[in-house]
Amino acid sequence: MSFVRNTIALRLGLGATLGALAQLSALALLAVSGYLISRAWEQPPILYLMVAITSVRLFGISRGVLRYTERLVSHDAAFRGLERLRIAVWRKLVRLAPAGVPVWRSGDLQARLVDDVDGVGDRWLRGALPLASAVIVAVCAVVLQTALLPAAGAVLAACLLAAALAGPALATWTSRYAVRATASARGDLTEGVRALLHGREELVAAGTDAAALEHVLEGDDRLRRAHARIAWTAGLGEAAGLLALAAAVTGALATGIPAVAAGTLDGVLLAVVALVPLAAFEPVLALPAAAQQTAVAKACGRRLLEITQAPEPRPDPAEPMEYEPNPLGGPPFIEIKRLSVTWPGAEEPALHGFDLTVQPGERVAVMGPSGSGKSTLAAALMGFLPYEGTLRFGGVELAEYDGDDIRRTVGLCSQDAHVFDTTLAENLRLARPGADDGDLARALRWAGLRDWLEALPDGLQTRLGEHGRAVSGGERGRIALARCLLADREVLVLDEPDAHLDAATAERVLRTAAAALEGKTTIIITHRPLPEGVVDRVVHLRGPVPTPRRDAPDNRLLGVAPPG
Amino acid sequence: MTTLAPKPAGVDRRLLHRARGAAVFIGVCAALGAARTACVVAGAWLTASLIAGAFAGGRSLDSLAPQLIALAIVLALRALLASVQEAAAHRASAGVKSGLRRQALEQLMRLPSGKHHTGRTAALLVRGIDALDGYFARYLPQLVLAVVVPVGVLAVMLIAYPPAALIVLLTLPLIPLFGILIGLYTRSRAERQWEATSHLAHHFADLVAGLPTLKAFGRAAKQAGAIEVTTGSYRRRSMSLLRVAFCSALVLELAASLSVAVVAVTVGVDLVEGGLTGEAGLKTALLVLILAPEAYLPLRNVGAHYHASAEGLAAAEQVFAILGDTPEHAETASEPDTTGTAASALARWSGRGSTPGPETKPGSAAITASRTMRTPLGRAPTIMFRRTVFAYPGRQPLPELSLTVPAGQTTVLTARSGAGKSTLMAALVGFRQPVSGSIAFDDAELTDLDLAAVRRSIAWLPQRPVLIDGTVAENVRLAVPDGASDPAVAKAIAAAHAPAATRTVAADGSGLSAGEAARVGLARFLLRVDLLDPPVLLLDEPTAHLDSDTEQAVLDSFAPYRDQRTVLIASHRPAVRAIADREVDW
Repeated sequence: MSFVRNTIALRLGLGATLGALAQLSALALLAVSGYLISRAWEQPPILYLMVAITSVRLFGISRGVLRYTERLVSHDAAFRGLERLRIAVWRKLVRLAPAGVPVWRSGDLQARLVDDVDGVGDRWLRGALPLASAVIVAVCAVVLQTALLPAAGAVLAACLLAAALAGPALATWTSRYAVRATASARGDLTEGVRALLHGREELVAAGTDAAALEHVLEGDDRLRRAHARIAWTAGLGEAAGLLALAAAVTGALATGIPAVAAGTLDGVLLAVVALVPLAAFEPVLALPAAAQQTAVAKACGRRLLEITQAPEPRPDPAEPMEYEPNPLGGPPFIEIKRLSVTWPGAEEPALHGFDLTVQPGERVAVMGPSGSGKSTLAAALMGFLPYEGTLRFGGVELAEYDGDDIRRTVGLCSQDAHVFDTTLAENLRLARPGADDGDLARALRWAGLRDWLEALPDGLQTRLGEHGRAVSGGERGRIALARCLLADREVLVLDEPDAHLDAATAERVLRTAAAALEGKTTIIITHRPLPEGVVDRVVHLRGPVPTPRRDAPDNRLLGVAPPG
Repeated sequence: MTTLAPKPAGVDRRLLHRARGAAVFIGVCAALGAARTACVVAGAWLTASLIAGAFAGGRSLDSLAPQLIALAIVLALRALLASVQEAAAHRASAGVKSGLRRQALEQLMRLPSGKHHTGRTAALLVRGIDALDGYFARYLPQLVLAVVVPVGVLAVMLIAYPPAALIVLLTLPLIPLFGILIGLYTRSRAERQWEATSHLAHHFADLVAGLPTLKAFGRAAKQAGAIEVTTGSYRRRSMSLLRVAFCSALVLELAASLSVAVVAVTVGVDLVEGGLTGEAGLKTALLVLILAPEAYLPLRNVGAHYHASAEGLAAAEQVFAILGDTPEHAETASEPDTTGTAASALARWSGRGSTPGPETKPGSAAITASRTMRTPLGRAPTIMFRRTVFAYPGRQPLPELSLTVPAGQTTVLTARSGAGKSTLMAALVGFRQPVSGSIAFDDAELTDLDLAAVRRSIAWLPQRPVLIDGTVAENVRLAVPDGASDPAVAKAIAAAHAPAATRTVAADGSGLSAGEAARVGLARFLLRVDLLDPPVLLLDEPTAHLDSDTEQAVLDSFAPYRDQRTVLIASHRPAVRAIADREVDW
């Protein structure tokens, strides 16, 4: 990994060097041309000028070629770097999901992954590389100018320094607020537009599409105002650089002309002294834009850091126990005592003092009202969340096991299972990559989707649209169920499997699934009674009872209803 | 990152046409450009004469001081002009972007849902359009300068020293020529690459959204390998394209620096051979040397900003595609004049002869429409589906259906999932059209009725009600077009057992649980019923996310609203079925 990163740094360094050499060629071209013309005016034999003439032509060619090479090298390096970054962010997200990312806002996360990673790439290409070449060129120009005429060198150094500091500082200083404002305004606007498009039919039917549109466009107005603020700072940065250039050219002439008169500077070189600032300023004038780019990229980098530095909700143990919850094979014995589970960032546990023992192969329903912590129980069983109390598989605390090991035994069929934007077959096969079409069709049949599958024109190869949009809520739930049946886990947690189904379909599906799950442990989480005979027993979860804090008044005494 | 231009960028006429103020902005750019050219020429002339005066003329600083001060002023003026231009450009750009965004969104609200991918469209309207900054703030001003500056500089060079002007004149056209040739050569590949970029973005978003699912199946870590392969091949394709695309920049740089070299050598040789002599000769030589690179500078900047503008232009292209789409046909008929027809259609629907005469002013007709809306209260319509068949592209059509929803009663649809219950409701508000069969309110065919009027007399609660950024109250207010009083909103919120009015909601629903979001939608629905008094109520799975206690409480508060209205509910819940006058399954 560090080797790879080093080669990327090397590539970027090479890019910076080539960029500086290209700019130096431009400087040399102008300087030598000035000398050539001044010297030619003295009308020496043309042979005396041959070196200058050849160099002028050489520099004329080298600049273009160097610049072309620099672009290829640096873009390649940036692409490679971004590849690494994207994968690193993905790896971190994998460890955080689903509990560790405070808000799993899909729109915002999309912006984070695509925009922010690209933003960091811009920081290299349009921020760091121009800065590196500008510094190299400025130093070389000052050295040359000082060698010709120390006073002119000092003036140039001062002007370059002023331009390099003031321009970017002005550009970043005032725009910082606007940059921050646009980032959140963009996120809000994206979400707003998305909601507007999703809910279009409802809004149009209610006649409130125009009102909702105006509401969302308020976000656009915020964005526009933020951009207008950036505008003036960009102008200021540009002006600062050009003013410094004006001072540098005037200063070079103001020191050069007396020096020629005094004889400390050869008159032939006066043109060189006057022209060097023009070329030296070219990369420096690009610095405000580079600085603004860097500022934008920094915000992107900060948001990426929020992800990469977020604490893992349930870090895997350093030395995980060897995973063998049931040495005889089959489902493990599950033992839950006084289980308390708190979501990261939450103050109160979502599940408190829960007890449950599940024999291998047993089918248990956990029933409770909304907000009683049913889904939290599922997340804890999947090894997604840390817990207090006892949660043992085959006598070993779940916390001792590696999360991926746990999930090889426990499967979760959740309400919000994602349907990927790909074919039905691929959506199912992620549960068992080796499964053949027969396995897939069987799993769909078990989930009660036989008729649906037969009606699909492309069968298993039917593409399920964006977020499974082309499938109804009930179908989505059953596809998720089929996926879980296909995965063939020893323990399966079904979270509200009948949420979007009519009673008859729900009963049929649950009975078929129960038959398919014979011999496996099944925990069905539900908020309404299940059909007779689907489960062996029902465990009730209490509703959320607010535990009065010692410093807070007891709400129940004041007659205020508990939340939820 | 550099994204590739799908086509050679230029002055996009549609963009300028769409964007009010853009033409003025180009005029401002041209005026500023002319002033900047004057500064460039004056600066070069003053610099050349100062060098020549000191070196060839042997003059002292004192005698040259006025010229030196003039030089300082001219260069400072140039800085000022540049800053004004930059600021003006950003302002113009911000305005154009807002306008484009509004037009696109307004158009999208008229287009059938599902035609454009929502996630990608949202990204296009925000990130894509924002990228137009590169075009307006950087590319376009440089493009104007690239026309104004070379013309001015060439004119001066032609007067001062024709051979140098000729060199510049010969090389300058090579730059756009090669740019166009290379652009044409890479065009189709660049278009594909642009698609690959957005595909890559969507692929990531999809993976991230499904990450919890992938992790549950132990597939998340392995996906990193797949991402590596995808992005790796994306990089290789991008680089092979860039190798060609950067050639246009190479030609530009070569033409610019080589012609400066050639000018320098030509002038130098002429000086040696005595073609140019004296202080004036040196001054001319230096003037053309300083001016020559200035002729190419704007073009080089155009090249530098070309890639920055490409992304925005490609986005603009997609926005124009949206703007060029034909709106949902049912709505095109009703939207332009929702007034006259609304009243007459409604009159037919309610079965009363209160049709306003053709001489009635459109405005008053609209008022009549909303008044008549309240009269058919006693006459809630019977809804009839006669042998209707609905079909989705790429799917087998749903089975033929005939169904009567009796007037003033509550009908619960209990058909199995996927039988088309939501489709029926969407059809009643005109978002789905049956491929055969008909839908009628009393005796009036839906297709003969004015859709806007039909929609005004229906309250529809879809399965997933929309949420916007803001408070719960703001969300509930989306029930009716003309706003609602605070007490009315509070009443609806209480009746729906929705979260507190001041709670904030994000557009993606975060901040609320699924059950709470459902109850916000329900509150909106009840508010609409309260204020508009619609005779038809459609509820799609209104209690799917509620536990049985809340469900019962919500159904209890809903009970008075059902009176004297034609109510259609899709649900399998026993509590909902208990309130039905009639259950329908098919």
